[in-house]
Amino acid sequence: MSETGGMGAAAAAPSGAVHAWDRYDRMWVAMFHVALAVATVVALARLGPKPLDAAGLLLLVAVVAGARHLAARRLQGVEEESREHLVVGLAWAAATLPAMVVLVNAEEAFFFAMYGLFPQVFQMLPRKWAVAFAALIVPAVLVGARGASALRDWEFLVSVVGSAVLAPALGLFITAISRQSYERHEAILALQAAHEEAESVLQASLAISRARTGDEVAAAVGECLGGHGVDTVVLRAGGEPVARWATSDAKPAVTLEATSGEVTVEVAGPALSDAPRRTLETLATSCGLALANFALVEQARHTGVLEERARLAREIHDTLAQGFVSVLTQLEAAASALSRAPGEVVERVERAHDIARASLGEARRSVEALRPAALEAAPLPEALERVVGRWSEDAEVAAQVTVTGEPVPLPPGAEVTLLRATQEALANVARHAKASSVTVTLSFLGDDVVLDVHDDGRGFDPAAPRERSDGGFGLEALRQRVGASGGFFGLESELGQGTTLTVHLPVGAP
Amino acid sequence: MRTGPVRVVLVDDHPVVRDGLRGMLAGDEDLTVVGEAGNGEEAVALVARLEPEVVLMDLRMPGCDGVEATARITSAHPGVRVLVLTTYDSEADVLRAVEAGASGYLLKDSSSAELRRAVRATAAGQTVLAPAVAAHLVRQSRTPPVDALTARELEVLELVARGATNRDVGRALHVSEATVKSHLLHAFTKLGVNDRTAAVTTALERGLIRL
Repeated sequence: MSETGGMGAAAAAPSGAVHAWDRYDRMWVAMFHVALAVATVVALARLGPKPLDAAGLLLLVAVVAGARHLAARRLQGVEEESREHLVVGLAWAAATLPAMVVLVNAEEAFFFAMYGLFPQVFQMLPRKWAVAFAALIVPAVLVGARGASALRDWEFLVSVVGSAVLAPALGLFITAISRQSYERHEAILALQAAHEEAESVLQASLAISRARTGDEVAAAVGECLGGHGVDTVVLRAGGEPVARWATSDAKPAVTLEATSGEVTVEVAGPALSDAPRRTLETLATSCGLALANFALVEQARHTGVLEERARLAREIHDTLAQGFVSVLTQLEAAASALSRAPGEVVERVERAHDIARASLGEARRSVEALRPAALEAAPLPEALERVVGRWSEDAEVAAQVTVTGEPVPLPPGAEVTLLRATQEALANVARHAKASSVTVTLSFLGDDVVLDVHDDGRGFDPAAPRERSDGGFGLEALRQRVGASGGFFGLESELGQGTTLTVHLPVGAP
Repeated sequence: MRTGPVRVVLVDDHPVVRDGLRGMLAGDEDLTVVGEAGNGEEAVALVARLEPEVVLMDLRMPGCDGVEATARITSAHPGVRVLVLTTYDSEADVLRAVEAGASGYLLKDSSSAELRRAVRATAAGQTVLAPAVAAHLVRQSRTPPVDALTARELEVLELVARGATNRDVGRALHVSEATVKSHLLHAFTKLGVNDRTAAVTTALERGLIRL
């Protein structure tokens, strides 16, 4: 606050912008001084018949100006309406009022400077006292100048009483407006500050929630509080430091701490303002949550790995190890039966054989279950594209592959069956059909996968006895295999209308 | 087809497995093992020298693997048939091997009778596929939820709405009647209807197709 700050002595001017009232206040003070100076010059010029010499006049002017200056300085930071305010104000009034009465009495030009006193009255004195004093000034000066007898003059009396009422009323009015304006100004600044703080806390909380490590959490806090002079952040969990962030020029300094559950957030910087405390307390909660989350994730991962290892060990023990033990005992028994009971040997070996096969089945199931799903992306459509493309070039027949529906991984063997069926069908087309174009369609129907290989060749009469010595023979194994898988295998044709081979395979229980 | 026993080359990087396979084929007068290779490179060279009828090919081998060896053998010697032997029949490798020209595949734990039958069938030009796997191996959970009609089902319905028979639709889309029927049945289920007339009406009402 400047020494001229505010009409209320101790109205704390918010930092930053100069408030409009402060400027008016300065103007008033300047005008007061100008009026004082002009009156002094006029008075010195007219010295003579007046009962005051030059030295006395200058002394009184110095008293008025000096009292204002000293009182304004003394009141900086003093609480309004406090006892100190009153004491300083009364001292100012005691020095100023008599001096002004004498000055106005000596030279009427000082009357103008007297108006400059009104704002000062409300600045220097507690309100009630200021009202009383403001009411006193004009009558005191007027009466001091004209003498009490002048009060018998009707007009003089009216002007004395009028200024005694008007001056304090005007002062009170201006003071109220000034005070309200200050409060609003402060409220706006406080809102702005709160908004900025909320924004930075929000940004930091977002950064914290995105962080993957404790150090990233600490860095988010540090960057949020950097504007408050924070250059070091330490996160502690259960008292132990778990993460840290520091700018390169960090130096040991004041430390602030905030706690959220087990997690303590500690910030340090060379010139910490008090502002980060509240922000820090908000961020501490976010930090606590983030660290707790990391701990949970790590624990879950660790537990998962351990459980998976235990499960694998159990599974290897239950299947492979047990299988080997059984096979070995059977083979040992067979070996010892060799000399004693040769008939038993075959039986033992067969048993060992069955056990080994069963164990292999178990091992396959384990491997199947462990295979990452990502590696299972159905490669059949791509394989079909390549096979059909190569065939089309070799056979010089236009061919295209159409895939409909959503491709899904197929049961073991299904892909190979469909690819082989396509190869066989294409071989037959090349051999017999005299086709000009071929369409291979792979349809994923959800619970079924369907292959159609269509050619626009000469076709055949399905009713007529079929030649079985060629490609049809190659398809026979496929027909059996499809039947065994619970699928459907068909060959549709008509003379002159081309041929369509179709294979339907179940994908699995829907 | 040449007379005399089928000449077989064994390719596997485990000598014990080769020995076992040789033992399983021994005693069959129709089959004779003429050579063994421990990796793909050896196999390619051996086949070039021996020109066998059938190659029993392992897939996972160091260096040149079974898929690559199969591709090189079948392109250089179209008369040589490659039968893949694998531990896991769900491997993408098997598909790649078949794409590369293998006639079929068999699981390594097949019985000697199965193995002999498969080698003979392969030599005769047939496709050999391992027996269908038990249903519990099928990964059930991956069937996508059925609700919306696929583009193909809508295509079929639209043709049906214009009066096309299953055969007409099949011709238009270059698929079999059986496939058209399948598409229709799936569309019926999704639309909650029982016949083609109701399916067409419902699809038109819902604005799924237009005439």
